[in-house]
Amino acid sequence: MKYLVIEVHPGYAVLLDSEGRFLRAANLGYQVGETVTEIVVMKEHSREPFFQNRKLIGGIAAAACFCLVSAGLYFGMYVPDYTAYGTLAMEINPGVQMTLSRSGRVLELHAANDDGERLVEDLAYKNRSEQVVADELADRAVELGFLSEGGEIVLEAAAEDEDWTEETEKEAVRTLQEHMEAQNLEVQVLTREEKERKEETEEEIQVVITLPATPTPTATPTPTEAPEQTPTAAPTQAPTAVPTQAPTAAPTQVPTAAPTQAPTAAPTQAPAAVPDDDGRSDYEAPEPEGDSGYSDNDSDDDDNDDDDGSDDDD
Amino acid sequence: MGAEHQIVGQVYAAKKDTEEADALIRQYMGFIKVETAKFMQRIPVEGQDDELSIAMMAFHESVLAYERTRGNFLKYAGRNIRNRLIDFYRKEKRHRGLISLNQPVSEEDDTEFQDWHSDGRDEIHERISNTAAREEIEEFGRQLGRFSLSFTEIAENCPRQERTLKACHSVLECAVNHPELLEDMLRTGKLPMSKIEEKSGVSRKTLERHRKYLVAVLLAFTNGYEIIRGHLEQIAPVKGGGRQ
Repeated sequence: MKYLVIEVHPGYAVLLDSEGRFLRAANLGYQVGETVTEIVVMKEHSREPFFQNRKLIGGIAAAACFCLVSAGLYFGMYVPDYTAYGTLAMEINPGVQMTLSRSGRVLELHAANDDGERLVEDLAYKNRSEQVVADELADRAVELGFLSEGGEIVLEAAAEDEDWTEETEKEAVRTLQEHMEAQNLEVQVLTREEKERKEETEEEIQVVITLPATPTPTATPTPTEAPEQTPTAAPTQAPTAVPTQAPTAAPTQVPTAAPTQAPTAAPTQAPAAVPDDDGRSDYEAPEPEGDSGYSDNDSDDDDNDDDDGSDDDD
Repeated sequence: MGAEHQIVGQVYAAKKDTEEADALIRQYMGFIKVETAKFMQRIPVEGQDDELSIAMMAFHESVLAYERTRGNFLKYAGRNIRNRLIDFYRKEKRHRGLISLNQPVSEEDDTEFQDWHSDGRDEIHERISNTAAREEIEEFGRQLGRFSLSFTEIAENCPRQERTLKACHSVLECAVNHPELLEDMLRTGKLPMSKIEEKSGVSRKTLERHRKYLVAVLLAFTNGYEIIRGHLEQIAPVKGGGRQ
């Protein structure tokens, strides 16, 4: 595919591809009139997706609401908002599960494992909203040391109602991510699906990289994820660039120290693919913002590089 | 907190106005360079390091996507810059790994590495044709300006789905075969929607939705935009209604 450079700005260039698409991409020093082949596409932000004629839509919406409410009352859809409608599982490493009403009110809270018990102990959850409870659980996890910079939280909703499940999951991820950001904590909140996709691509990489016997110089470069770490730690960081330490414990124990930390599986020794700290690596995947990520996830090679949790952030 | 308030105001203004956005980026170049430097472990050189361009794009994307609920703008932008750079390095790494001359350069096209890696012989020819192209494009831009359209808007309005793109191309074909449509457009300054709908069979909704893009494409094929048309030869309709 060839791209003709149409216009340039500091933040992007407008290109015309040979199939007639006008698109925006990073301005890699382009000149108008030039033809290029390698581009980095910009993520388009759709501003006003649906609402063109506001007044009309407003009127219709009002009428629709009235109809719906009447129908709802008629068909008894407004079950008391204290009936279980679905569940939301939250996993950091301690796992917990909330039973929710349709409107997201927490009716029950259970721990999924021992550490989870500590997390839910004495937590007032009854009848509070899912967002509030999730926030509190996350905060507690931080306090108790289960969750820290560079960590991950996986949320998974379940219910008979698929739409509700999807909605709830998305909302929950979004609000929790915002909460973590507001705390200035670099934690990633994902849905189960995102997590699995991430893991899949991680596995793929290990297979690819183990082949060439060249003992990688790659131990060094890692310009990628973790600017801070000093790969000097050693060639023990196998070419597969295994995640060196337990994300759950303070990832601030950076590999600069000898491969000795990693209270969990000392994966640093592992010459080959041993991603095995629950398959979790703590680099930050593309978008913690709740969007589905910039890059074309399917073709992404996620390296199991070392933690970058020791990153700059204040 | 006044500073935060101020930048948020600027961001919101920049969302709507490309010039404001450009200015904002220039204003925060220092910040962008610092964020990039954190990642690259050295100071980025403007005009040389792709990373810096990518970071600037990430900043622009942040401006467009930012909402107050996302917290502090600069922190938000900083995160996006870092993520973008990570993505970029991942892709780069993949290419740097095992590369052979016959290997395709990227998923996006099938140019082979040896084709792509030019040896500079045609540089002068290239420069000449680039200049000509630029002049043509600038003229094209002026004409679009008369329709109150900017290239940025057209890029935003361009169909993303294959299906819709093809529909738009059939509109182009239709217009090429019915020159009166183009004449109407040039005369009135607007797309003759009803006629187009009638003759091309493409739904009114699609036409409305991608109005800006359609104007651009139709214009590109009306005037003496040789180079642009040459670039688009893949989608050029054959006169008489047959498809290529």
